[in-house]
Amino acid sequence: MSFVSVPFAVFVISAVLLYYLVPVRYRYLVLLAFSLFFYYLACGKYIIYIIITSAITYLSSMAMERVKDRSARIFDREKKKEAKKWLKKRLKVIMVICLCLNFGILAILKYSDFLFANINRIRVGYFGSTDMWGFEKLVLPLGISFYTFQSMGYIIDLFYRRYDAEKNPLKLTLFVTFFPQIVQGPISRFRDISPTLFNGNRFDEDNIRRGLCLIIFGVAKKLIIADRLSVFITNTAAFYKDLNGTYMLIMVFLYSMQLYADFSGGINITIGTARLFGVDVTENFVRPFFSKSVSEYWSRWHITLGTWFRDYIFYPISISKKLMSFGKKISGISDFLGKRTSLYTATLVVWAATGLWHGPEWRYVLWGLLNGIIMCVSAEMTPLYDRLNRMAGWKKGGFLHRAFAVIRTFVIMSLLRVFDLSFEGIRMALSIYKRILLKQGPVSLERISSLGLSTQDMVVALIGIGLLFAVSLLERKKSIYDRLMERTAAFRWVFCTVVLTMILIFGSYGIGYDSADFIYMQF
Amino acid sequence: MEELVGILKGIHPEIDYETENGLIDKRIFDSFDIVTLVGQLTEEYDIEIGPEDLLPENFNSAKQIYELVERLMEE
Amino acid sequence: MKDTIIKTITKSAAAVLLGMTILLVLGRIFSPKYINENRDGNITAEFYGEDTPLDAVFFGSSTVYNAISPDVLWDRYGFASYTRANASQTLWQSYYLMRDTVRYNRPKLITLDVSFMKYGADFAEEAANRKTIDGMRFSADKLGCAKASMWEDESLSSYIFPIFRFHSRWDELTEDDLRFAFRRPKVTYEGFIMEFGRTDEPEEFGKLKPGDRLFPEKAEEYLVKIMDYCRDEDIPLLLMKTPTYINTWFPEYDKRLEEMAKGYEGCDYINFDRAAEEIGLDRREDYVDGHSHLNVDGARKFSVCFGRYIKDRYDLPDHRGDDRYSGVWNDRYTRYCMDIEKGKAALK
Repeated sequence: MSFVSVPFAVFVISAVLLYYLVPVRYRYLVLLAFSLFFYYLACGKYIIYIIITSAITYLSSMAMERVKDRSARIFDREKKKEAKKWLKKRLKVIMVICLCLNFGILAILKYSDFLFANINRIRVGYFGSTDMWGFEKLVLPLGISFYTFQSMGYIIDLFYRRYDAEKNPLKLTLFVTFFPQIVQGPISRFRDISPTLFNGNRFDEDNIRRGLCLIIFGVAKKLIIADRLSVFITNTAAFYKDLNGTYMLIMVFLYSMQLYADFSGGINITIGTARLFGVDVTENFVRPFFSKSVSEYWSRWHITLGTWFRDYIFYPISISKKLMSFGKKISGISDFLGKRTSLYTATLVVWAATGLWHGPEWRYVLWGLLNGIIMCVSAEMTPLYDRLNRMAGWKKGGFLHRAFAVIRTFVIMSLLRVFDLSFEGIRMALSIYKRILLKQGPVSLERISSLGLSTQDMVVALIGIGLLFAVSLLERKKSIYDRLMERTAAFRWVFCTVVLTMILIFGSYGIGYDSADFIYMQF
Repeated sequence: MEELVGILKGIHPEIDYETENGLIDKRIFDSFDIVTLVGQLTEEYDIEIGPEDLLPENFNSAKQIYELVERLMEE
Repeated sequence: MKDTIIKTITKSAAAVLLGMTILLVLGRIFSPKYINENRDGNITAEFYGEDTPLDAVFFGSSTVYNAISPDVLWDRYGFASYTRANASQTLWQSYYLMRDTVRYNRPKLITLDVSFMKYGADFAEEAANRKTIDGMRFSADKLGCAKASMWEDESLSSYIFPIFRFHSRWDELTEDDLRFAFRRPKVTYEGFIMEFGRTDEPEEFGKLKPGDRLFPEKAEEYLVKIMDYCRDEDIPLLLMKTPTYINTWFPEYDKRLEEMAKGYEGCDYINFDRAAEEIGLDRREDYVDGHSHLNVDGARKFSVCFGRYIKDRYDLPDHRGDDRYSGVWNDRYTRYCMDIEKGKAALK
């Protein structure tokens, strides 16, 4: 069931009606029932995987609670210190078991093909084997990367004792399966989402208005911009061998726009849908293309994934005692390297993992590593940039300086996305880069049209992108919704009518348009 | 406290640490800065900062960082 | 508390109403108008404008709307009839259109062309579906018809709100789309469409495999539904095959149809292919489209013969002395004749 479809609209409307009709204390059950139903409609019998993950998570959390209770009953001061150590050790064992089980499922379903392909390549290459190792084709359940990460964040937080475990298994299952965010995130934190998710929320017109506003905005982004561009991008990537570097550049920049419109539009729909029930879902995008550096970009794009990797992988590695003391040893040889050992090791590990998260292929790993490397390099280059700025006479933080930094970041991030488009692998990415650098040439509108973007469609897409940019500029100060609420009711009704009409007319949907699934759905 | 502000100034000299209370929320300190800071705090005060302490509410202002350091020194 | 609930409900209702209005109005503007070309797209809708009680309605595919002229039938025999056939109209579409027809204007006789008995569940043509179904007024029959006809990529909602289908016409809208959004001029002749061309070579039509001489399951299923329906409604049903020269009709088909018709009282089958010479149809003069359809000359010859057949057999009344009929129908016949002359002159 696509987010932008009549069946999904019917599904959400029935869920909302039922939610507000049942007594407040049972409302979370409505959400749970609809979430499970949604998952069943999407995946059928593979719903078993998400239920297993929920069960493992719940049982582990309860085991942790019991261990905590036992150590809390010790009052003796001497024993208490010992008990604390014992407790930490026990919690760690439980956490590790839980992580192994849940990540194990993810690893087998998503990554075993990749692993076996690589093993087979070595076996064939070096040992001359002729048989191939591997499983039968495995089905990847919807949203497995998202819900696995979300539940593991919960377990790790329990290990850090950031909050108490949820004792109601149904509520915990709802946390894992909540339907608006199952398809493409965000990866919510238990502490952020649980209050509004579990306590039945009273009906509030503002929630409905705000939710609908977000949904409409998301649908507009997706239908008017993203889906309109997707055919052209797919075709251009498929025929890259026959096209010059200028087409590649157009493809790269349009892909940035498409990906943003598609993914952030989808997230708007997610947050808007959750809001209809009064549930707060964390924002996943904050105008990423206004970032002045790659690291800032990653704190504004797919935010919940970035913070997950930061909190649960980057920090633990970079401030681990072992790495820090290893760094000190290196300092004996070189102070420069020693100071950076733990930081840069953690960065590269995290980014290789982020790459793999996006897909079980080497091109994604390389893409991730390049992101990490660029961040490290730019950290080293800051003094140099400052000097260059002073030479150019640009004030640090002044308009020119900021504009330059924003454009530079946008270009770098767009160019890195070539790996995303290179479905044949790293070699294809290199070939595209080569074309961009060496084979610039003339471009014709007819050719672009034959690749799936007619001139009329291009005009609509560009106007759409222009509007999106204008909205982003406006939202720096105040959200569009808040600005609308300052106007008269009549203005709001007219505004919504106009936007809906635009979506109906200029959206790329129905026959004659290839409906592109949300790009992030496969992850 | 003064010593702490000295360390912080070493990372971001342009900030007024007396008044600023959104070091994390306003994205002034990114993750690299946090790790650098943790490394220096560990060394200066001989404390152990674990991943569980790396929460926004412990690092949003100089005061909060100071409180964290004091708490960890007691342990 | 109660006030806020009432307010919310009012607002929601207003929003739903507004949304529906936008959807419907946009659908009107963006739907193809079929005025200057593809006029057959108006056949289904124009029927609702028919206000004289009808004696006969003819169902079938495009061969029917090119072959039977209700205006000629009026002039010759004085009964009121209508052609409710569409391009590639399948058996299931005929079934639902029949139910729709009987609800609005119950005829004394229904005839059904059986050319499309050859096509089953694997036959679907989106453009033809739209032409046939979009003109239907909203009803359970319309939905049933759409459901039975849709192919994989189509959605039922786009038959309720055509804007979902036709919004992609935004870059080809013309003034006509606004002018004729809510009111279209009459472009067919009581469901009849004029063809002025003359054919060249006979053509093979359809994906018929040699040796494959059974009707597909879905076609038979709906033929049975049609026969059941007419029996239950007590309306005589004539299964007929319009004459064509194309060579894809097998004797086995005739046999099967005769066999099926036998089981129903008031149901008969006749194949006019065999009567082509008797009717006076000329291979070189009277056909278009590779002998698959009749042109206006062929249509006149066939209508005269077909009209006599059904008038005698079903004892259809003559309304030519009745003012309620003659005023309207004489004008229609005049218009028909004038347009044929115009069309022929334009051809020269």
